[in-house]
Amino acid sequence: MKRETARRVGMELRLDNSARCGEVYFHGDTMLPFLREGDLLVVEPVSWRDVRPGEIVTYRSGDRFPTRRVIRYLPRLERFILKADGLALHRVFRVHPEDVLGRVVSRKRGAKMLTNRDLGWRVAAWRALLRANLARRWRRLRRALLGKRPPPVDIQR
Amino acid sequence: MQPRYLINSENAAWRIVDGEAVILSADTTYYYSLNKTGTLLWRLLLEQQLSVDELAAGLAERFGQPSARVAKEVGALIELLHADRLILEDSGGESGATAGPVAELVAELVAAEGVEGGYERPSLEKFDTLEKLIVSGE
Repeated sequence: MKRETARRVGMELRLDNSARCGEVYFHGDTMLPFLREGDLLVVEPVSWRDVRPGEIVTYRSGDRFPTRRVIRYLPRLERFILKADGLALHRVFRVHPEDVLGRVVSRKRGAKMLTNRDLGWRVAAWRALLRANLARRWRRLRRALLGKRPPPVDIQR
Repeated sequence: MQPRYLINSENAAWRIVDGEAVILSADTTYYYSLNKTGTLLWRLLLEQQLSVDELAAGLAERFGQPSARVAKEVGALIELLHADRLILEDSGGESGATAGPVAELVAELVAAEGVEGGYERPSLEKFDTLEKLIVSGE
């Protein structure tokens, strides 16, 4: 087996087992304010069928593990639409269900721990979904009223 | 009496890709890869607790290899897996099974999993630790 393949699979196993191997580090500022640089996350393996809008998932993209929020699932295209809380609303990421590796179930920041069962977590998910859906409706309304095409959605993986 | 071994599923997490296993030790976060024959041994231990002699006899019979050589090579692999706590000795079990059923199990696994190629020295490669894994929003 090639070293890179073993490493990629090893990293996926490590991610899937973060509850028993130790949390994984979050890097970057694209999920602000909910996730910050240095937050420690527990990611649990999940079947894509059990993923719900508002949840934060980690998926495979080459040798990286982007971690973003699920907005909805498009059955016809068989893709999840994900967004990063801290990025502009028009930036969306389409992800194939098979690339979803796990969902984030807890966040440790310093001594503070928040889990996906806590109210603060659910409120953040609800706000992010509301914001995304309002932006979507606004785009549609604007198109209907002005007859203009809105700027193209920036779709990335 | 030789001890029998079983997979230490409390510590080991694994995935088999193209007939080769990648194993992660949850205790140390080191990861490993097994070649195809090594993966076959891993699969055998998933099926049932076996001793080095039983494993070696099964492989030797199935692949028509000298049993002394296979026993030596299997023993070396089992020692490595055991040293890193990826497998455990079954304290209650003792060797007693004949090679026949193990050889049949090997044949079944080879047929079911489509394992290609013949016997090769089973090997375990140990890689780095994955203690600090980074996920990102970038």
